[in-house]
Amino acid sequence: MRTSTAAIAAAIAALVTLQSDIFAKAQGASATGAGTDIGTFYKDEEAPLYKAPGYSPYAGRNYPTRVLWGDTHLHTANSLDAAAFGNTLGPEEAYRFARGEEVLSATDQRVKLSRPLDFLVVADHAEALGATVELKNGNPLLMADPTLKRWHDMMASGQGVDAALEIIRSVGTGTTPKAMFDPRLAKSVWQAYTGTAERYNDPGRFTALIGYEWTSNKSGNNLHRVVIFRDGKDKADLIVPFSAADSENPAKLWDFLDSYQDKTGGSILAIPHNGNLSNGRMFALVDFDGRGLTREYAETRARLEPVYEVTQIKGDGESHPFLSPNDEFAGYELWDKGNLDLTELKKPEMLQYEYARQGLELGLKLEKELGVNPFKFGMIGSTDSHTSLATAEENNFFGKHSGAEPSPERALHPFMQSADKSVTLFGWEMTASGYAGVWATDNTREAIFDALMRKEVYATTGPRMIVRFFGGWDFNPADAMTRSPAEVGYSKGVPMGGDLTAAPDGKAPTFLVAALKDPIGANLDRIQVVKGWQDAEGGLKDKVYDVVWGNADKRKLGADGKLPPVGSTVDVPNTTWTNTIGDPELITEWTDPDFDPKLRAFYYVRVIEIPTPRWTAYDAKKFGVSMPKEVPMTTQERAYTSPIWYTPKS
Amino acid sequence: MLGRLLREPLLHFLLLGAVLFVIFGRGGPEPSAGGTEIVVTTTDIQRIAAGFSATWQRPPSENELQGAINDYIREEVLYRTGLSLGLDKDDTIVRRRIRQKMDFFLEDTVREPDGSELRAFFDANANKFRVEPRISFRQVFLSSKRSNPKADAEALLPQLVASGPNVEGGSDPLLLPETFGLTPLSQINAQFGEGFAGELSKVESGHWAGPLKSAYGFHLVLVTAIEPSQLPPFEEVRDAVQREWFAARRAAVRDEQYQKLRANYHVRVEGLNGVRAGQ
Repeated sequence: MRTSTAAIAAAIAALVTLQSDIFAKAQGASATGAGTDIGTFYKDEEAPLYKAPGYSPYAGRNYPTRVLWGDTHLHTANSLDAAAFGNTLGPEEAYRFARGEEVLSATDQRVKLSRPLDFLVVADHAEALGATVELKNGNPLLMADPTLKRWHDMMASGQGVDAALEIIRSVGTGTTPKAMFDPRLAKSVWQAYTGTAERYNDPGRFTALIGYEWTSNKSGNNLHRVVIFRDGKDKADLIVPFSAADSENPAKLWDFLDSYQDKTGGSILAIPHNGNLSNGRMFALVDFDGRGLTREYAETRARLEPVYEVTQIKGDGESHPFLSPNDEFAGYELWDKGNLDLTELKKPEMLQYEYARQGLELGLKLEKELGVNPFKFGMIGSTDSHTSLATAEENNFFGKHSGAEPSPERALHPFMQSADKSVTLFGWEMTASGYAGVWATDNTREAIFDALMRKEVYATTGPRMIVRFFGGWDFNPADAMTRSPAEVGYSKGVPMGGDLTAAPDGKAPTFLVAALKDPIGANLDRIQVVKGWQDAEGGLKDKVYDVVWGNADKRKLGADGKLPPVGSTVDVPNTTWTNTIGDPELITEWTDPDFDPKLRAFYYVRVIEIPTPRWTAYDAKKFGVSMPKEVPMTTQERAYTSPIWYTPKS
Repeated sequence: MLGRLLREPLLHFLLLGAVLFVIFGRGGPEPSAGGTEIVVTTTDIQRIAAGFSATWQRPPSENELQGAINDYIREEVLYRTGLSLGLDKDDTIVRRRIRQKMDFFLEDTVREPDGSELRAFFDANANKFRVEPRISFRQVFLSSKRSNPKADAEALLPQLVASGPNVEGGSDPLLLPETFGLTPLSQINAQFGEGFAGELSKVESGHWAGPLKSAYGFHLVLVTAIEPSQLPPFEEVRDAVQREWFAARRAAVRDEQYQKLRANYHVRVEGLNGVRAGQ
């Protein structure tokens, strides 16, 4: 035994010597062609210092080649409000549905996705996690409180919707009875949930990332964040989710996230959503307490919140026509009547701090002032569905909550009303949106989390179109003609979510922009690049460029620089359309024609589909309902990529 | 040493517990179901503090702990008084809750399956665990934007056969990779459109062939390897078998256990004609 160990040690020592010998020769007078144990060393075999395309098509290709589809924001019966609305499906059913199985919805309807998702984050509300199930079931711990008892009675007598609305309101006004937040209720539900996630996490095939939602809703103004772990149950169980009952201040949430990372060595991030319901708070220039932003605030937010959920059931938040009057595609699926619970109606001056495009612009301004950009976020979509069913397709939309699952009444049923009854939201205003497209190198928790961190992700409103976006200084039109644009993209530039700096003399940024339609979806109308910048006087500007479009042989830019609409093939009563307009694939190289190397800027891509029937049209046909004329029956679905930022060299 | 001891949270808990014991040990004014003595034990306090620490990632301050303990006591007082007043009797909510607890309890009686049971489940449901076929291939694309992509593809095929895939020109860019490593059929369909994988699996490997139609146009393909569908060894998928076994057993067990309990009762339904004792 001892001899063999010694022999191995000797062999290793010999190898080490031999190798250093080889290196010495290679670095020195290798032209001598001295013999070694791995063959004669010839000068022309020396590893080249430049990168040449290799023989093996697989080697060196460690960039992501397949986009992964998922929902980072799904609620189940473990969420207070979901259960109150009658959802009885827990995380297990949510996973089975997401990975492509048929399940029975809470309203006893058979439902299945057109195609499985690759990953799912079950993100139940941390506030009273699981307590509504307890409330509904009359847990004596909760029934001692008269308000809880009354809510319980309302649920038991079929007034669950009203009870849920009262609960949501009470969270906003801070009057929710304390018993609902008993950590004893949360802990068992949390650990049961992480256990289920563990069982359904199947690396390489289906990823169940662990997460939850922190539901800060001060005075009804939405500052919600979805929290996502890179880690598994072992680390996630070391905490109980930090909830808005602990603090409604995002900075306190960040403290919690950092202490989790410090304590466990794990990794965690947060994704804000629904700035459109924040009444000017999401991208405000002051912090939660109304003080001016600091460098520390900016650094922490940028570090822990790499992406923003820009589109979901409660409306789309990319752009608003009030802020972008020249953008005819601004204002998609707007929810701009008030804050989350309509306790405060919208004023136009709030909008500039709510929409992603302006948030990105404010980030440039803050970066100049603070040295760090707090709003340097990528973009994803997710459902925020409360049915345990991650549905975002127009012809398969199961609604916001179990009370809004397919039925003849759901479109015209009021969804929410302001206290003075001046504003009502209706069921038809729900948006069948969205999903997250993630350029991850592998279908695992780690790879998906890392892709979110580097912002190599994009949002869609439901369709699974493939979108690529690369920025660099040397792309040329021929790059858009190569067989594998992604290969050129990665070798000559940075992907979506990346940075450009130090413009070479006389050069403007060049971009490789491409999209491929969903294989079972509609053709593409156009691809646009949205540029935002801060001008020399400090003003924030943006401009939308049509860079490539379908039917280009017939469609030309007008004298006003606008591209004519693509037209429509939608037959609303029959819910059909044809791919006879638009293109299945669009690709181009684009150079910024208005570049100034001294000015901060960002660029992101918006892909627009040809018109297709909206979910309301499918409802109308299926249930024989006639919709009032204010109900939109067609839609132009879209994708938004994470930006690429340009920062001048200081 | 003494200083460290004084800063020790556990000591604080113990002292607080002792104080509370003295206060509540004297008994409340009302008689209640669990007796008149409420003891907040060290264990209770530790549990309350642990709940706080798990959330905040730090121990509670004295004030915070005091608040949490007060809350616990309040709950206990109301709960016990409620019980002594018989509020739990004939209460639909309490009945439902106890029924649900029984359901959970019965579900929990699903014991861990032994190896032979899992194996039997695996054998009976082999299709659930079968790994689908995988194909590795290369593809050259001709877009449906062309006036006659199929004819163009057919014209390109002999060039590919003669000179290999690096033939320049004659094809179109595509966002899907040119080279696919071993890829499951469902993933191929998800990228090329329904039916493409089926056609691809009919292609003889080792030669450029096609064109095959996708959602985007036509593709000439070179299949380099086919890995047939296979059933992985049981040990390799044991966790998945267990997960599926539990999912399948849960509902069944609730019902089986109910029937067992039901057998302990003699049920007679009076009154209405034609109504029988439910199973």
